[in-house]
Amino acid sequence: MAYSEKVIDHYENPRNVGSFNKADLQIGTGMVGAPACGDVMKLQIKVNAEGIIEDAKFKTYGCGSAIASSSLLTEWVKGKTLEQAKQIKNTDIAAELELPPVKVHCSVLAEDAIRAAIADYQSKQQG
Amino acid sequence: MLQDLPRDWFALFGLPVQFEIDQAALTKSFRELQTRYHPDRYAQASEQERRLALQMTSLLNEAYSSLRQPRLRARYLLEQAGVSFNDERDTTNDAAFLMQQIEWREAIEEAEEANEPLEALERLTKDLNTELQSLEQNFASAWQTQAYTAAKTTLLKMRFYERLLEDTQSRLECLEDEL
Repeated sequence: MAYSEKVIDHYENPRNVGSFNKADLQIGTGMVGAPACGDVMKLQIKVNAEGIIEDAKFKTYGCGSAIASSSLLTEWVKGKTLEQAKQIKNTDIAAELELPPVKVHCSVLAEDAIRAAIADYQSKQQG
Repeated sequence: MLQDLPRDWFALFGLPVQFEIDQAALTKSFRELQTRYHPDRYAQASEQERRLALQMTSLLNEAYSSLRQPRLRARYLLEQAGVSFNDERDTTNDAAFLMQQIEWREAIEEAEEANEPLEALERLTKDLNTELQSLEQNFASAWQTQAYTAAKTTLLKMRFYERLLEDTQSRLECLEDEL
């Protein structure tokens, strides 16, 4: 299958690969897996006192499209409020990366990961 | 008569409807049916029969390749029981399971860097196969008791272990090529 140039760019030069300390109160961690292909994605956000995502990191074990989807997403969420980040749809990611229909589930994975990370951060603030 | 054949894959091969399968009996039955319905044998038959023979051949191939593979066999059993799948939308958020998956991935990377990478990767392959077999056993007992939700959860985990095994296998092949 032919990957789009954008997928190849993110795959070869992934942005924001790495981890934050999960236990830190400023950090929200989201982990999701795709049972259709066995890909696993971990996405973390660092939220400041104003509720703005000031940094994001990811670690994805999967195909090029899954890596590109998470790499792109970490770029997009930086500087956004949690509410704005929640508005990002998998279809936006799929369109930007020109994902073919069989790879759309990779963008779904990224959308679920950011939602899980936000939910994790918010539950930590209440705890 | 072509049209009288059962459409249920297990019935097609004369096997009991269950997860445990007699692979030898499956293959034997497949070969017999394949020969019996080979389109070449219908070269002189009516157009309708020729078409049916072709459909039969493709049904046989699909049924055989799916029943041979444990995960696809499990999926067929669940689909027959009315369980639906959405490959595009189904995601897993079982944190403990995903954490474990990341640990397996890291273990594979570490094995490749070990002093004896072939041995380390082969040990991992063995451990991963053990995990997969235990998932298969869990699936079989859940399906048996019609605990379909638990059976589906177990089935969805199998693909992750297959991926780990594929990854380990391709790293082993790379190492062997270098020797």
